[in-house]
Amino acid sequence: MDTKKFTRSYKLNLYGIALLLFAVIIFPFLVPSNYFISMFILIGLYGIVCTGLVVLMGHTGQISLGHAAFYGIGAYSSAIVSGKYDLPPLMGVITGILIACIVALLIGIPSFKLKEHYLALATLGFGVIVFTFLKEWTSLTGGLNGFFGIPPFEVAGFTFTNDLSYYFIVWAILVIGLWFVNNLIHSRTGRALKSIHGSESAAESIGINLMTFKLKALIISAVFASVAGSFYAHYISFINPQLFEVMTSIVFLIMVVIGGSSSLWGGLAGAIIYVWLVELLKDWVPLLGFSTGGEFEIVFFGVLLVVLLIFKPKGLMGSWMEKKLFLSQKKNVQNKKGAAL
Amino acid sequence: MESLSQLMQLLFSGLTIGSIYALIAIGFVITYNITGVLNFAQGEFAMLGALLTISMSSAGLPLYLAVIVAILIVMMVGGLFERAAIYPARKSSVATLIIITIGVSFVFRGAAIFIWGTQPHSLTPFSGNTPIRIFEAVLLPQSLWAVGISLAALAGMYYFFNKTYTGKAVTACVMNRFAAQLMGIKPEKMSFLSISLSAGLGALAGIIIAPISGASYQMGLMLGMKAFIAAVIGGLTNAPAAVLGAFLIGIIEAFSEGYLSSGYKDAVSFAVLLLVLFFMPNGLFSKKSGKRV
Amino acid sequence: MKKWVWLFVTVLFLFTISACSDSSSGEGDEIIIGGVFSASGPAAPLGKGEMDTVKMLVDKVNEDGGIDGKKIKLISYDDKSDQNEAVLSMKKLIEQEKVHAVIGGTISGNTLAMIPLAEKSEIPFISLAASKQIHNPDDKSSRKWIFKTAQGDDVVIPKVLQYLKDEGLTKIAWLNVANAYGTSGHTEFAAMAKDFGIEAVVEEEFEATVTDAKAMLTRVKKEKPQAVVVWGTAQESAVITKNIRQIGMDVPIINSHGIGTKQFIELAGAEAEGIIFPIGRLLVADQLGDDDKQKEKLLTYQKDYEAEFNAPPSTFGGHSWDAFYLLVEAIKKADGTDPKKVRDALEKDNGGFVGISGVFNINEKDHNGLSKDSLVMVKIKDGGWVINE
Repeated sequence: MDTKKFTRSYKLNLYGIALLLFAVIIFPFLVPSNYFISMFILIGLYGIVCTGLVVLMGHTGQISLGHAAFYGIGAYSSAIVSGKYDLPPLMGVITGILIACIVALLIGIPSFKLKEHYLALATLGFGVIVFTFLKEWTSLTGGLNGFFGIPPFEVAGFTFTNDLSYYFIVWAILVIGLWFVNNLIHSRTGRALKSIHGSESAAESIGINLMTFKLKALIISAVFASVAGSFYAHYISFINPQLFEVMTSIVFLIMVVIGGSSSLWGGLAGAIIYVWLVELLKDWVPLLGFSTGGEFEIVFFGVLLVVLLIFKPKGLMGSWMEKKLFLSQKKNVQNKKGAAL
Repeated sequence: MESLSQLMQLLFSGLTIGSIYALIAIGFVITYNITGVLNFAQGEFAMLGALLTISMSSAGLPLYLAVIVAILIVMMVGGLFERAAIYPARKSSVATLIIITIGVSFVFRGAAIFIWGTQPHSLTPFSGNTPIRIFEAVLLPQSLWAVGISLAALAGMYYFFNKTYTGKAVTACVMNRFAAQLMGIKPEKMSFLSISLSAGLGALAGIIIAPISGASYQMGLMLGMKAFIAAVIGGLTNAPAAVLGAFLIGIIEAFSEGYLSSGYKDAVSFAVLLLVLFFMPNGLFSKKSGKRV
Repeated sequence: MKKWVWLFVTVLFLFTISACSDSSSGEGDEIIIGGVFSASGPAAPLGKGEMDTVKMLVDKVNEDGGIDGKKIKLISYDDKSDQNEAVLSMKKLIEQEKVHAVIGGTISGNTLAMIPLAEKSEIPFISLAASKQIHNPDDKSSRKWIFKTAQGDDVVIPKVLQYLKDEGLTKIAWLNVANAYGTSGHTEFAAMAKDFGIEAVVEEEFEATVTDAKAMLTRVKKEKPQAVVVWGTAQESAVITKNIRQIGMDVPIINSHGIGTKQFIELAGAEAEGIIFPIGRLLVADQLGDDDKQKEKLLTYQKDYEAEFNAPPSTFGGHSWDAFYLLVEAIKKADGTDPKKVRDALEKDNGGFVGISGVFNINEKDHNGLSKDSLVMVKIKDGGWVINE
């Protein structure tokens, strides 16, 4: 892995981010209705979570089945700080980030002593435990009845009341996040992370402290998820613990895998495809003559997911980026090794 | 006396549910060791088995026949699933394979809503419903069936893997895929065999639990998750250990429900999972060497 | 590879654009009603019947010539019991399909998430979910455009407490399912029990996916309650009810209105015998006296639904029947689909509306309008239901 390729992909990504910024600004003028704006707010929120996951999964090879918990930590921190104690919403966002960092450390240190599959299991368990806390700590979270009446986000005297304002702030955060991750993966840290994904023992032998780097990746992904959760809470104004169940973690994982975890753009691509597909199936499935309800949408979604992954096992952006950067050969060798385990 | 009867009751409850988890957990372990896949659709086989049996027995088939036919159908579904979804993607990464199995579980669940609707269905117990009383605690005949069948299935598995040619071939594949291949064993065939076998075991679990809790299209998710914890606690590579893990999880659940609160039941079992992962990553009952299935 | 990605994205985009352009046609000569139901996912046993009912009624009204000659167009979505899908569906109905009113929100969580959208866009929204927060929120936020046709726990719980008081069962055990349905019942119960002189000697939760609760019930048994109240929906309540009898407790069992389906009786088997629960009159329509205001409508709904879907209707379907006809009446009275006029008609002109769930007295202060008289206590006897008053 020579630096030339990295600089090339770094520049390519920067162009991409600039292009995205442009698209984000003109998009609201092109769409026919607010429905698309709110769809893209959700896409943006998922995009933030999944971009964080890309750092974790694509660059350390670790799978998380518990990121809904970090998302929930952000959402509930914001809800409680701004909804219950009437403090400025920004403090809620920061509280969420802090808690997410601490929790990520607590879960990360023991987890990263484990092998590949086992982190998935540990995060799964962690997700269930956080869910139970949200559900049972009723005096603080409102329990399963949910937490409603979360005030809109507010910063420097400006209150975010309509969809458009949330659209811009969410996508601004996403663009900054992408820019940050792009810098990160092309920095010394990023190269270290990538080498961990390649071979842990090789990385260790050249003096990389595995634990520190893996923890960094986990913390970054946790913070991304927490911030997205905070804005979700302010935007929808109603949350309940069931939103942050294991299934949501799995949905995040689905997005990253269909987008491709080896590319900076995988998280965002996955979020767009997932949300869009689910919405599209709502329109398409009745056109095919099935009018009975969601079961056909579920079946279609499942089939599409399986077919997509059989033909594009590294996700859409993953395959594309590899072609682009001629990295495919090395990857294939690794994956064969993984499959044989 | 009263606390003793409560203890007995908790033990009975734990063993009953543990034996259900055990059957599914064995399937997890077999599939994982032969194909390297963490099959998140494993619980759905239980759902399919239960609902198929209910349909056929209400169509007039005698119960034992309905059970056998249902298991065979689910085994075929399992085999089809392996050929259509796992086999073509066998060289993909762990995450991709996990998501594929999740995709398949969506398909199974959606199809189940289509066929059986969303309402829960019931199945009559295999043999009567008169509780047996031991020290004031109540034991239902269906619980005896559950424990008995899962132990029998375990014995059957042992026989299969150690005494039959096919079973030995599967075991060989687990221990050393490459060497097995050199000996003329086809790993692809074993992968097919193992998944349909796991599917059959899952179906059996679903059929046993149906008279106890009813059956609905969404029952698979929870059963699969719990069995999964059991398999991990047992170390994921060892079927008897997974069975022990399953009984352990069943008993832990019963006790945390009986002495704590049901709200924390899931959290307690997952906390046990974390503790085991962090302190004994090879599973509670791991032997450092030796056979894995 | 790159080409394929772009082709895929382009096709997706084109489809979306085409999907939105066909729907915006035909405005003015149609009444467009939106529906968001949880027809799959955990709440499916409730939502499926609601969706089917509305579809059936729309066809029926259209066959009879529509409302004042205008046909009704129903656009209904399944939110799969998922909050985000509910929000997006609502958004789509309002912004994209330009609906005149929305019926739906099978579960309280989804309804509460959709409420701000309806309020902001000023579209009448009739919810089918139970929570008190839907029409009478603790934080006093606006519910101007929100109506509700299900009996909330603030109506059901007093009915149950009154029954317990009348029977002299003052020391009871309270068990509820650990989800929004169960906990909101518990909140109401905890708030009101004292007023009726009822005391819970033990309060417990159980999971919706419970398979065996004998462990928890042994603890309940030790407290020797005079009766057990089980607050959940069919499947989990059946497990609990069976377990209560199996461990040898023979006190009266009172269940919630969530078990009003034949499935409960099938699942609980012999142990269902003697169970008492509050429910709308639909379940026992044939036993009502001829002077009952609702009887005729109930029997007609039952007959139509059974003819169409080969299964008996549920009280949840009844909630959407009420929502639909309340809306139809309001549109007739408002002489069109102007949202403001329809809302006003819903609020003011529907006094004494006789529906499936009960007789509605909607007014400015109460956007639900059902009292505890809309419920009857029903007993399970010989595998069927009988009124127990």
